[in-house]
Parts: sequence; structure tokens; C-alpha cells
Amino acid sequence: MNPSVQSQAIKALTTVRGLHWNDSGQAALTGELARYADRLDRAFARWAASLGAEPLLPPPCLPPGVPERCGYLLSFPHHATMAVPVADDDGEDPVRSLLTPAACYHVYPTLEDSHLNRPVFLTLRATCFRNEDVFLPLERQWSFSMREVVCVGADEDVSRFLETARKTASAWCEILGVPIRLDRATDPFFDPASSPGWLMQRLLPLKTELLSDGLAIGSFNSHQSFFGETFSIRVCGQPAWTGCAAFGLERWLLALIRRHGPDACGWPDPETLA
Amino acid sequence: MMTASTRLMKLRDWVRGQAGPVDDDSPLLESRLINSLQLVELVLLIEELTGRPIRPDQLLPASFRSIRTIYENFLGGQSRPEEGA
Repeated sequence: MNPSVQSQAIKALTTVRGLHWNDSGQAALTGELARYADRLDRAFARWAASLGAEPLLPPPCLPPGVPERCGYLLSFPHHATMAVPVADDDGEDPVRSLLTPAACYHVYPTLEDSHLNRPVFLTLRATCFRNEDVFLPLERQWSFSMREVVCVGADEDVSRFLETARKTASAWCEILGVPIRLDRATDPFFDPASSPGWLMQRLLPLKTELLSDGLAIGSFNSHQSFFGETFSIRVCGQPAWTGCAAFGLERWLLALIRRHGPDACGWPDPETLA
Repeated sequence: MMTASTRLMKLRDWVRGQAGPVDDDSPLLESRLINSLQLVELVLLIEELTGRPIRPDQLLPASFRSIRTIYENFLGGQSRPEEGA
């Protein structure tokens, strides 16, 4: 991105009360903006609870070994941020702790080697870290808050959950006065010219994004049986399918700012969502 | 020129050669009967059978769902093919 475009985008958000931006790619929220973010997240969590979702409180890092098993470091090494002690006794500890890149990676290790006889739902909010070339307040941050709801079950359980999640989130946006559209997404990591993965993603869309003015404020993802097989999670004797609905809280705030202005006091009440 | 039913037969033979005994309505991608590398070969096979390239706007999930949808969307199938033909 052109540096002047970037600085204009940052300047445009300086009038937002309660937003404290740091060029390292992080934002602190205070006052009404912070309260609104919390109330919005509680609305998401209430919907999750209505599905029977159990809460999960995650640690900041993925357990060592989990990123490798999930294929994260192979697919997205450029986004990774490792947590490293400044000094240790012998200086020989390998760097193995990955700061959470997406909330749902915390779910699957907690269910490892389990045999389920019905679908299981979990919900968590995590501070996630993604390294990027350019950071923008609320839009593209090094660290941001993600609320996820995860379904672990048979393939039809996951399909039904994702359909419900898409409809529910679309209804929320209507209540909040945020125009959106749903669009299937292909991972930009795949190069259409050289990767068969691109063709598969195009013809078997596993990811749908909730877009507001081109900004992805949520996504709905089917992982098929990948995590079920990787972590030996079985449902009724078969490898479990998993799917997640993910909501980036800061991006919801940005979508609301764009529609309703910088003062969160005047925004639609998130208590009415669920 | 190859008839639609000949093209269908060749498609069935290819799919069953890759994925085993599947019927015309088996979801090829959703059920992971066809992997991403085989999918590229499938696109090339369809182009070979029809003698024309598949345009990017024809790459739609519904068209590639099963043998039947490929037959109806690419191979000139006008009606429901008979299983086992």
C-alpha cells in the first residue's frame, strides 16, 4: 500500500473516540467503544450458548506441536508470530510457541482421541496475531480479537451449523444497519496458474466470507474431516467433521463506524441481536 | 463425432477408474471421491471429450457436483442418463 494512503486511512480514524492506535499494529479500546465491543461479543456468545456451545478459555499460545499438526506453519509461515523469552538459562530452548493465529486451533487438541456420539459445540474469544506488510487500525492489525463458534460432528451437523451461522450473522447485520453480502472465498495463498488447490477451492467452496464494503467481518469455514483425522476425534465411529464461524470484533467496529459515524453512543444496540 | 451417451460412458469409466464404484449422483468433491490433482485431470478430460476449453465462468460448484451434473452441463446431456448404460 502507498504510505500516504495508509497514513490517510489512519488519520481518518483519529476522530474515533476510544480508539488508541499504535503503529506496531495494535489498538487499545477505551470508554464507549470498549463497552460496545464487549457487548457485541457477548451477543455472539449468547447465540453460541443457544446452540449449546460450551465456553473455552484459551491460553495466548498454541501448545507446541499443534501448529505443525494443523499445517499452519507450512501454509501461512509469513503470518506467524512466535513467543520468545528474552533470555533463558542455557539459550538452547527451541522457539516452539506460536501466538494464536486463529481461535479455533485451540479447540481440536482439547478433544484429541475422543469418541463423540452427538455434535459438540464450543465457543471462545481469542486475541489472534497475524504478521502483515501493512497495518491499519481496526482493519488489518497485528493483534485482534476473534470470537469463534466451532461445531464438531458428522458432515451434516457441520453443514447445518454453517448454514444457520450464515443466516444468523446476516440477520444481525440487518439489525445493526450494516449492509453485507456473502461471498465464497478462495485462499489467495493458492496461485490459480500453478496450484490445483485453487481449482478445488473454486469448485468446492469450504469458506464463505461475510463482507461489508469489501471488508471481511466474518467467515464460515468447513474443514471437512481434516481436524477429526489429525486429532483422532470420532463421531459415531467416523472421523469428525468440523466447521467454524469466526467474527473479527475490530472489523465489526470499523463496519459500524463507516455506517454510523465515529461515536459508538449512537450505534444500534447489540443487546437486540440475540 | 462422439455422441453424448459415448461421452457419458467415457466420463463414467474415468471416474470409476479413479474413485471405484460410484453412481451418477455421488457427490464427487464433497465426498472426497476426487482429490485436487484428479480434479485437474477431470477438467482436461471434459475438454477432451467436448473438444473445447472450459471457460473460467463455467467453473461452478453445481456443475461439477456429480457425473450427472457434468453430463448435463458439459457433455450435451439433455435428460437424466440411465444408470449403468
